[in-house]
Amino acid sequence: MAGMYRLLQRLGMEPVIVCDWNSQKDGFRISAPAATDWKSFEIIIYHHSQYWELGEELIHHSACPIVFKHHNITPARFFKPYFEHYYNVCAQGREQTKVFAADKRHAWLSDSNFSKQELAEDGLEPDRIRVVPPFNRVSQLLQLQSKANYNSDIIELLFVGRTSPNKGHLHLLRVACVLMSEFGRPIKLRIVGALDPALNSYYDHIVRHISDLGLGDHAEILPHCGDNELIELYRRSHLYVCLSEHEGFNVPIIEAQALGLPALGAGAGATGETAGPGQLFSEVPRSAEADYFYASLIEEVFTDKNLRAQLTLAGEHNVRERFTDEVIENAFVSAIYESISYS
Amino acid sequence: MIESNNPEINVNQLMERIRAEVARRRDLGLLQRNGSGRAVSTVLPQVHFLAPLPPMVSPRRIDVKEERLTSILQRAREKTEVSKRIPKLLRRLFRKQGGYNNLLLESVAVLTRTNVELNKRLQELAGTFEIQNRWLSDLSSARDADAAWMRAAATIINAVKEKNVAVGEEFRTLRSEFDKACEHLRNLQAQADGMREQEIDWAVRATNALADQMNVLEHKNVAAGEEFQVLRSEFDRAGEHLRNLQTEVDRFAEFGTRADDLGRHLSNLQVQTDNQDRHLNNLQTQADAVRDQAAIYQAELNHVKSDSNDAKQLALRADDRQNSEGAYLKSELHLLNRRLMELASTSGEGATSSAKNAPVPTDKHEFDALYVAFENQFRGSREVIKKRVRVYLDDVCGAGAVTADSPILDLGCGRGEWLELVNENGLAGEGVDSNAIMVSACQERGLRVIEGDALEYLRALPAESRGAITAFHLIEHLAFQLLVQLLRESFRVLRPGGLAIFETPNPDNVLVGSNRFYSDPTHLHPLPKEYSRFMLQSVGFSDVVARPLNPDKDSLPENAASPELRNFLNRLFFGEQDYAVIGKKR
Repeated sequence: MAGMYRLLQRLGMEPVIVCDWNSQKDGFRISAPAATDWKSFEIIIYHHSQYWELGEELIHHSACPIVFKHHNITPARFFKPYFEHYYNVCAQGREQTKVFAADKRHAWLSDSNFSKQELAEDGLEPDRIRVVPPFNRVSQLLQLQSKANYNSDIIELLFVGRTSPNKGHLHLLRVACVLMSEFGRPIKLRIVGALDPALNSYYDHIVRHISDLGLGDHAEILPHCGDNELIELYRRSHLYVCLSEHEGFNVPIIEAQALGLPALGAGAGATGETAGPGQLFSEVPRSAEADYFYASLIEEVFTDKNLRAQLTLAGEHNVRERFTDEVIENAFVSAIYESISYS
Repeated sequence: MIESNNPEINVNQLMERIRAEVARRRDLGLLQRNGSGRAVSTVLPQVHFLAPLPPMVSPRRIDVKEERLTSILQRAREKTEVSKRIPKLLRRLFRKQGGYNNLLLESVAVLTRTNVELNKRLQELAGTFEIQNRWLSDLSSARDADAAWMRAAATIINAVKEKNVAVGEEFRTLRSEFDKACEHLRNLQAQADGMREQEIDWAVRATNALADQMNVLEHKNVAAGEEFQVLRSEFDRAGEHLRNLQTEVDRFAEFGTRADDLGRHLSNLQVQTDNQDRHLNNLQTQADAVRDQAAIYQAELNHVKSDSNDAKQLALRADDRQNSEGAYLKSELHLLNRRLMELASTSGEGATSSAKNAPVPTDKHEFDALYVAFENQFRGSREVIKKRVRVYLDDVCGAGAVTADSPILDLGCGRGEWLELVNENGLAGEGVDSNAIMVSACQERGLRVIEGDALEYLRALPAESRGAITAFHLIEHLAFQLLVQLLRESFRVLRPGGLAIFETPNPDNVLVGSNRFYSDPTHLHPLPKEYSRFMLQSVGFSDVVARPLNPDKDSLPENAASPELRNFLNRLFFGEQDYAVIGKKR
């Protein structure tokens, strides 16, 4: 959001962020929905990531072109065992997507081709959707280098993502367990991601799993990790492993690649597309075979320096070609221009 | 940035291999049920070694001065003894109390010194006991640590035992599969031997058939050449006739002009004098005669036109016949035609008439047509080749060194598929090939191709003048010295940042290396990937990679062998048929 805001400012526009959480932040003009004169805008970029009750009202009363920036809504089924409210919000959000899609005046931006496909399944015509990856900080991270020491006996694994049931934490722990028990490989698994109090039952499930699998000394959850601390973790870790079951993009993959950290995992959702060609992302149904498969991949990458070098090179190439500030800003401006033309 | 000069690892094949291994373990029942396992650390706790027992301090012996005290007591006793002759009642008065007291004091002093010594010894003993206590405490901790170590070791020993059983089972299975694989390999070897004999037999028969075919084609070629000469002669005659006709037509036109002048003159005469009618009638007669002559010329012109149409029809029929005689004959005729044109241009008009005496093709191009026919048979269609070489567009565009001033140079461009693709994608490209027929065909397609030797052409080019140099299936035709010279010249001619791409058959595929490679009689020997990479690096190229390409579509049947053996054999026999060695000039 911040990257988009600053780009629009640089282009001579006067952006305003309208949101329910009206927390003022230096350098940003923020307004509450009730205090907003919707007719004063020449274009509205609507960030659609879950159900918003004002959304449909806004669409009906707006006179200017609207561009929907679609952030993939997690399928509601993931939240069913843990928190009913999120289940409802996600389910309604997906229904609201269909309502918005029916208004054919407006254009859409999606984070990935995978998300674009999902939108198309919700009734959007493909020529109304442009793919614009999320704004990110890889251009800055590319200046830094990995400090990982692969002569170590212990594999240091890293996963970054909020503590949400679609992120595959339990699967990741089982793979870690197989690495230790079947490959005799000591590990240190660090899971970085903010906790959501509403999903405490999921967090408890993860903690129980760590205990049940005997990983007490080998896995740690770091919920309060600052930006600099996270960058240092990327730089010292040996591998970034993502076994998410559903992702609309997954920014941590490209952050890892920008810092020279080999990434691998399940190619669910957009992760394989985000990681780019020549990477070890493959979706295997959750099973003991999948645990062994991913553990084998980790062992292979950790022990084969040629493979690591190849993955790292391909990852850096992927980031430089597709996700730097320049590339994304150009894509965003072109998409907005085309979208306005469409509207 | 990490540099990698290692051959590219195919990640899809890697994942496929791991999937096969997972499936094998599943089939052997070696996988834990989902979530049933527990992490067993194979790292034993650190062993703590106990410091040696400190030396025992033995207290020195204490001199209790027993003799001296005994002596003092004796003397004190003596001091208190009084003669028995003194009455008992008075004896108290005669005791030597002063001496006794002195002895008593002396004894107390001796005892005090002994006491001090005793205290010192006690302190020494206490210190010793404290050190020993500490050591005993360390001993206790060490015993606890040893117990923990032994518990961990017991767990690991149990795990190792279980694994040992599983590994034993796995080993037996592998052994059995290995035996089966050996048996299968022996069968394959026997089959291969049989096939090789059949192939040699087939090759002998095919060579004989080819020789027969060559003879037939040679006869047809001679016949077609003669027919062509007849046709040429017809054309020459028709041309001569046309030239004559043109002369007549010119004369007729001159005649017409003159008639017009006469007409005008007659009109003037008509106006000026009426009595010159007779002269006018004569002129009229002359004009009629001229018209009659013109009609005759017109008829003759129509006749010539008809002859010309017949000649065209004849030429078309000859062309049809040429087409029907196949690509080989067509190529030969093409070459023949080209030579005739060359002779015509060098010898003037008389050259065409001497076409019958045109020399046979020189040695340089003797096998051009045969090689074109060979390419058409074995190399693959233009569409297939164009699809295969498309993979290099990204490399060339990615390097960013190709411009209108520094085009792509394709050595041994053959039928020009790559150059055509290059042009279609807006890139500048040129080619060189020694095969005159292929060069001519490329030029007809509008491609910038010249006939010549690739190495000579490179030598003539200025340094750093080309953005990319490509050669598909060329380097395996070159002897070592020529190859080195070609690579050195390529490096010199490339501009900084430019790419060199050399594609060649891949001997990692056993069938290619041992058989198909030799389908082309002009191939020298297969070039292993490592050799080609080394050669490029040795002349100065950077970032050199060898990229396998074009895997065989065939593979062993599913049930032919175990998955591992099948994968191994598929890689060996049906792997990538070609590879490209690619280097960059920094």
